[in-house]
Amino acid sequence: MILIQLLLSFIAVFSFSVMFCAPRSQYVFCGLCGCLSQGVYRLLEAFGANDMICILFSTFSLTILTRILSILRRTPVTIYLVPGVLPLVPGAKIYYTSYYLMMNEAKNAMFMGLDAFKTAGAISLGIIFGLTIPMQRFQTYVSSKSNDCRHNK
Amino acid sequence: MQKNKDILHLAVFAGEILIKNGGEISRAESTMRHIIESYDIKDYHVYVLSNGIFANIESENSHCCLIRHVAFGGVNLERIAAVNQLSREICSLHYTPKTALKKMESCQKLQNHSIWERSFGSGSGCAAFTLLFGGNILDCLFALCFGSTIQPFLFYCQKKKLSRPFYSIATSAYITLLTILAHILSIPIHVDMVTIGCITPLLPGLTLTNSIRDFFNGDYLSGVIHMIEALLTALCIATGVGFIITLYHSLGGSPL
Repeated sequence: MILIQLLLSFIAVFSFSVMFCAPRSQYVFCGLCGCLSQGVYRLLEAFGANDMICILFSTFSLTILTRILSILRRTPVTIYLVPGVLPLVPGAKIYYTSYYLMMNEAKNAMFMGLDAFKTAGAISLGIIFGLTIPMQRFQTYVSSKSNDCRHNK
Repeated sequence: MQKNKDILHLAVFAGEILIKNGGEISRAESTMRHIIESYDIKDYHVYVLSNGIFANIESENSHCCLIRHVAFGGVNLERIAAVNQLSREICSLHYTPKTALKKMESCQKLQNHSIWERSFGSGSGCAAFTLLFGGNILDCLFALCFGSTIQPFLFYCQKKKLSRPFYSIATSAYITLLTILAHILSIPIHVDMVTIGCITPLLPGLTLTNSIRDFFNGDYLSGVIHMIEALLTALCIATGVGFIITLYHSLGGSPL
């Protein structure tokens, strides 16, 4: 079951990187990013973690992976991060907020809207934590193996 | 004098391509800095906003200054990667400003992938998302069909020069309309699953990540601008969906 979900998120992020015109050589790596974030999400969910915690840690691991990939493959972080974060953006919650609002169920609508906000906040925190982890040493290690690599982040 | 002007042109051009295609502010700023510094110029200033670039180079007998207004032009990650690569080459190989400018123009000319490829990408992405959110195979097939039509629809809107909030509303309304039509024709699809899957390509993932990264790098002004844009897009999507659902109910449709 979880393998199917991993495969699905791989396909989803792969397709969106096609949609955003990512360089052709990076499609597979974008897909891998989606795979990882979905995997972390499902794993934490299986341990019974709160929804926000799941999203926080999956964006965190996603950001770390994108930074490692960007150093290894010499491309900007943006290319992996933009398609990779899409599965976590609360599309379903936006839909249900609007749906309940139109159905005159204000209580449910408010609950969903607040949830969407919280999810966006969790994503921001995840990305910020991921960006603050110092990786200077890794970067210099990799660039000493190859030759030049001045501004990679 | 002329050389300084060329260098400034080169740097601002690089920044313009980055911002236009969805790069974040600090990337544009640092790329411009690296390019200018690689020509041994110490006295310069660069200031980048989400829709404008200000840069100048000062030397003993001359000042040159350049201001550019940059409108956001749609996402193309390939150009960002190309500019990044080129700026690295400029730093290490020391091209003359003229050669570098020629190469930068070839970055700018990198075409978007063909509309068929992008349509297929958005279609299969939507289908995969529908399955992820718990739809069945039939939902997935419908999401594939509906999702593939999003890119041509957006392309049409951009050709007509409609404003961005409007085409978020229009596209999400269009998607909801399609799924509700399928529901009216009594095809047993889950309306909510298909709609959620199909609005995913419209979600403000890029602006949200960019705004967070701007905040993180201390570009608060651009961060706020991007954040407002992301909120507005989300609101527009909700409006489009809600509009069609209300219409359907006020015309006496059965509950979804």
